[in-house]
Amino acid sequence: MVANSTHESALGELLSGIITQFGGAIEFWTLVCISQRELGDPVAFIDRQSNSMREQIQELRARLSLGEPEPSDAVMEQAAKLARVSAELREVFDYFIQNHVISQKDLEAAVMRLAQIWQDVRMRVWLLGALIPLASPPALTLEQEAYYQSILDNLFDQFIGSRASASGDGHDRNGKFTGR
Amino acid sequence: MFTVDHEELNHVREALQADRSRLGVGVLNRELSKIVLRPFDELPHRGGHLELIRSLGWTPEECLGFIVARPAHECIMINLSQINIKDGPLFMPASLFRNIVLSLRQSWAGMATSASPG
Repeated sequence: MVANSTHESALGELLSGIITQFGGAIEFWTLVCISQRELGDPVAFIDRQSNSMREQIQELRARLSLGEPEPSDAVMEQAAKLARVSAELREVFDYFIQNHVISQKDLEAAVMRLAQIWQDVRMRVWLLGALIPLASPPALTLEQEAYYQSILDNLFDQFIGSRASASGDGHDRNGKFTGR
Repeated sequence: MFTVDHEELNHVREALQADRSRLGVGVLNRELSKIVLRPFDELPHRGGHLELIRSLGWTPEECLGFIVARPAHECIMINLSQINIKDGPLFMPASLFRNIVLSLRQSWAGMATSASPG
């Protein structure tokens, strides 16, 4: 049975929003970690975004539980796993933002974990859409796929570059422009 | 020079003045010579530069991005976005960024900036 149209629409929008929000983490939270010296309160920023993501997933689980007929155990299990992935994402960003000195090996491991989280999120969102089931499960466009993959492919070098800039042994990525 | 919506600019400034942990997302559409700005937290799904670009029906290929932040008393712009890497690094060419800064300054008196070196 396919969920009724209003319920389906709400769930589809929530799932699309969640994947976009995870994409925002890949795209923008990483920039916040890279440029954290220049920002007002990057720790609070990551904290707020992470809480927002958790709330979105809580809303998804609440909406799922309101479905008629009741959602299957498999659906609720995938939603619970999505919540766990969100917590893992938070751990990775806590690591990026709190550790100013990271070995290349640890940095590489953290970037790889982020890439795994991204794959996991895409798979779970797609699976949820199929299990609910939604008539059109949310999916990224090829352009979005390429965009986020390109970011992940370059992230290790970006962190290394930002560290070189911070230690003064590389180019100054953001020289101050003090004129008015 | 580029066109800027004065109200958008002020809205981002006010959002950052209210809470310095907030950030603004800035995009230049090179083909339209237009700058758009939003507080990150007000993007419907907090999807960053790509969400802003797609919400306007634009593509990453025609756009460049930057961040607005408020580390102290004044807002600054940071030449940094993942959409810029199609041209190589995370930052856009310095001359282009300077023109963005100048365009925004015309609408936003007293703004301090952070720009990529030439």
